[in-house]
Amino acid sequence: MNMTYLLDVANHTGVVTRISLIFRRHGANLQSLSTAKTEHPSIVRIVVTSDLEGRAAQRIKGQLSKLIDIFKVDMISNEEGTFRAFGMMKIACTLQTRPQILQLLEIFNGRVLELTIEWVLVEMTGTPEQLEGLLQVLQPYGILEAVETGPIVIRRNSPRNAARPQPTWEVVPGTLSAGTSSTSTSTTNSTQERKRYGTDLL
Amino acid sequence: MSKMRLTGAQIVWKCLEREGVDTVFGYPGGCVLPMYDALQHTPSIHHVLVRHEQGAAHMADGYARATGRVGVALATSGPGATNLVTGIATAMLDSSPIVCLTGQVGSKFIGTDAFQEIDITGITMPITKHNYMVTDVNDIARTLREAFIIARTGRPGPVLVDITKDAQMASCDFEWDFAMPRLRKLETWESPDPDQLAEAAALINNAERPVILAGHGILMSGAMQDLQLFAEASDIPVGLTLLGLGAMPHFHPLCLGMMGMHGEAWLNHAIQSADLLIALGMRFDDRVTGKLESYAQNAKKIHVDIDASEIHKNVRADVAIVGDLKQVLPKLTPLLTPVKRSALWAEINEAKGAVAVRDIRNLPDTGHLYAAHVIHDLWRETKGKALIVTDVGQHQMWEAQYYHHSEPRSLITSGGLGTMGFALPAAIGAKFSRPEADVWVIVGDGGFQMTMAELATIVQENIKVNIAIINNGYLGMVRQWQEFFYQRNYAATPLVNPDFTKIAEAYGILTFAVTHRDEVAPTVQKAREHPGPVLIDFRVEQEDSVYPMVPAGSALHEMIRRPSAIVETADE
Repeated sequence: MNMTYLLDVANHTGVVTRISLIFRRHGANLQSLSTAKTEHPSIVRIVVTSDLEGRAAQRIKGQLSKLIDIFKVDMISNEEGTFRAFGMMKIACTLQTRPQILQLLEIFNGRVLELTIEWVLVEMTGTPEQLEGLLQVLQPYGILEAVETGPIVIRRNSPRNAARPQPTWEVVPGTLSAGTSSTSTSTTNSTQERKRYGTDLL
Repeated sequence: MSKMRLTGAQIVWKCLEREGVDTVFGYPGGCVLPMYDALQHTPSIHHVLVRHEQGAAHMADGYARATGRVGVALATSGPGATNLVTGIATAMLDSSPIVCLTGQVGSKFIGTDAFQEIDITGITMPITKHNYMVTDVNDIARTLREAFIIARTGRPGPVLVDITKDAQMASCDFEWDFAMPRLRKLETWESPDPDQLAEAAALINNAERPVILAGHGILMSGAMQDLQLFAEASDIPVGLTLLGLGAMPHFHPLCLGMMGMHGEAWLNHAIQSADLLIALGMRFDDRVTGKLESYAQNAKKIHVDIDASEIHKNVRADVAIVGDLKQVLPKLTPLLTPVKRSALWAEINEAKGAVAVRDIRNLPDTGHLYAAHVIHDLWRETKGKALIVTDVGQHQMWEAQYYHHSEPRSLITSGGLGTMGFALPAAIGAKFSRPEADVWVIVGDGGFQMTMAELATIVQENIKVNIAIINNGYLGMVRQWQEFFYQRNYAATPLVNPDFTKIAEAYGILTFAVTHRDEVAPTVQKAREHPGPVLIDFRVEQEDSVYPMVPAGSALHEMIRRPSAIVETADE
């Protein structure tokens, strides 16, 4: 079974690399990775599905959570979120098969983008399973080209907007300066210094 | 501070000053020339010229570990930056707060394979807590402030900041107070969940055979006192990890010494037969657990760590508390029921007694010099007060076994990454961090040769660092594995060594060579009295091994013990 990770990340250069490095380190194969803008300009929603399960998947989640650029990491199942992917397919068609294809398309809620005498280009939005379904029924007519995005996801049970991380940029007080006093800081002092730093910040 | 118009290079030094940095370990080069030029206007920061950038990273690391203050290393682009990599990884694995500054080619040249251009942020992504590339002078101050916060907050770690040469040369208005760090909200570790504390206390109060496993986290959190009070409250034996040595005074009646692959036999047995393990600021490394499937099978586990991703990583915890030990322990201790665990202690003490007989210190003196003798005598002569920096290998384990650490931060060693060549530069850094400390490097003849160029740094800076080479003419730990597991096929482990005393002499360092046990103590004394750096070449038994040993992949109680005929075997 694939695991789906829902990541709210800062809109920073390199954040996708940092994320994919953690999957790569565990030898996980990324099934899909999609990035999407959110309602907040500094937050990007990244959805990753990978083939690793169990302890390793949990370990990945923990290590993702440590990334400085990541606000929130969720692992969710199909039931816990609404998944939508987008697909485009170019199907070979003849005068005879055209009505059949259009009919199938209607059943699957697909849409025609372009139509020629030789092929029809269709688009569809749906769960990855629905897209797979459409692809299967169109298979017999001859698929010339087909592409599909990874899914983007909205959590089903977000308790109103409360769970949505608001821009969580923390402005840190400007007066902190650890260790300015002297070079011969004793161990205890320096630890306290570090601690004080930690708490002031938080 | 009022607004000033400064160059990027000047801003770097201003920020370091404001962060309380007094020492920077670095090596100049084309892309950091603006920074070196601006250094002259910053008299409060001392720059230490190293001989190899790896040394700079280790020095920053040693500096950080000696006190907990952030260490800073500086290197140029390209090879300067890549030479830092081993040092950064070492700091990452042992959670050491360092900030590495590297120069980068001008932003116009990025991606063109320009001279000495390398994607150092790409290279160091997996081995830093976070890293940055700065191409705009306006971002330098904020980025550096963030870097220091990230390095020392929560679980500390290395941060790299790569600054392009044009950003160093450009100017902008600098005002510290406006260069506010913008970080995501970091967790607070202030108040551990009362329910979890109660659950943990219930487990402890119901346990018959609990053992505390205390690690590096105790030292980093400064929770030494809290650990003692916690253990004493319920008479619980305390085992320490390698990096945790010093978290509890060695001669504290509840302290059982070091655990793991070369740990004390009585402690490993106590862990294996425990019904409760209380892991405090440690991460169940494979060198500590042995084979996981057979690790403390009957024990429930309480795991307290500041890093949530450590919980359940290697060992599933029954109760997990994510928090700062300094906050957690004082809240947990009052919940414990005072008990005396006499039966458990009787058992442990019996095991201790049996092992002591086989201790190498107690074997008849046959004129052989063993590393254990050297370290034991060094411990006696320094009254256990020295700041010891060890390298990696046999001597590292002997040091951990025979130098009885009773002070926090009195041992600096590369535990996680196991970086040979770490000791000498790390000791230099430690000396700058704690100038009053009696710093001793204990290093093997193999590891010493990896970074011995830094002898020049010692002489140049005229610092008092004592170096004890445990010279057995082998890459000893590897040789030991070959002896035990590869039928004594000593492939590529015998070393042809230079005369280390002559090398040190060439640098103007006072040297001694020691071959007999009775010379150890007087030589250590002479070294301590000498005002400058000293190197002692201890020429020890060549084929001595570290006992006990849990072979990799074995259960923790399946130890190889010291053969009683060790003295005879050594004669062969």
